[in-house]
Amino acid sequence: MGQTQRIREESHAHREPLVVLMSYVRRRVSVSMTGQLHLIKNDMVDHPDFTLRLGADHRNLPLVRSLAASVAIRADLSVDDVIDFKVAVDEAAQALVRRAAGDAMMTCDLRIENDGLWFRAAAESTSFDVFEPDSLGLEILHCLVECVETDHRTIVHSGGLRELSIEFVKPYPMDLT
Amino acid sequence: MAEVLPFNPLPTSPGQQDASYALSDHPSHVLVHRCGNAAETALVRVTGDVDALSAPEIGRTLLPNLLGLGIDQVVFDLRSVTFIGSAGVQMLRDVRLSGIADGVEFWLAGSRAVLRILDLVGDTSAFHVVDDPQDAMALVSSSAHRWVPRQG
Repeated sequence: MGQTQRIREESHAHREPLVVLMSYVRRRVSVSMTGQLHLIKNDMVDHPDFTLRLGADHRNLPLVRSLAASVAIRADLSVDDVIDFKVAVDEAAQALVRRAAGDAMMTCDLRIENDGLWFRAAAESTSFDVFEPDSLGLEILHCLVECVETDHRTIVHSGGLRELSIEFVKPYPMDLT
Repeated sequence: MAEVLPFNPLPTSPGQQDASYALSDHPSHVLVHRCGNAAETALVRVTGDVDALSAPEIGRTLLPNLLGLGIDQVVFDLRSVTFIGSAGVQMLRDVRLSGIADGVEFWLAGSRAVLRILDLVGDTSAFHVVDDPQDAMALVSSSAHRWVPRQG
């Protein structure tokens, strides 16, 4: 990952659903928002990073889907691949929200890479895994994306909480690579 | 919690009546349109996102109002559904499984997002898929799908 610059806006501390308009022009990212949002801009033009930090709440999932679709469209994916990526991101984020601690925040990172779209979501949780082994969401996720990995890391002095995370890559179709 | 509007009593004679359910916390919307033709048919139109927030509520809305009331054909009009995830797929499975026990047939017209995910999980074959709900209504009204009251 290249050098990053963190832009932090906390005009509202509450965790209401957000409305975000995002455009990416060369090296600049502009965002208008309400609520709490952190945006990370990568200086590498070919590998822009996008990060959302928001309440781990089902009501915020439309915003995560919206960002995923915007990034997928920017990466010139087909309509079907945009749908696939949007569903995959929703399944991952939704599962994480379900396991997140009561007032936890969730961080969603997206990156346009040379060979595909990379996504990672993380939140504080008391659980050890994001999905139930036979869940429909996990089945769908494995159909749509590759390299699905989940992880949990102990957070020191957090009263038993750990950072639960999931990441995957949506490869570009052959004709885009 | 989202507000679900009360279901209007259905007519006992052939006719039509709509019941609309506005999910106040979510941009999804459910419309049930019951047609008393040769078969007792319900047209269920859902719009917006069918996600982890709205799907369970849609299911809770549909189940008591579709099943056990003499409805033999359910036509899902999901052409205006903009997103559907595993929660939505599970909701459709639950409604269908509850219905087929009563002999209910299910039809579906879906958006690209709906058909893609249903195809992905292998659920497309569980429905009679049509391009337009009116096609299903026409087929249901035809002799091939004429409703025969169950005995006993």
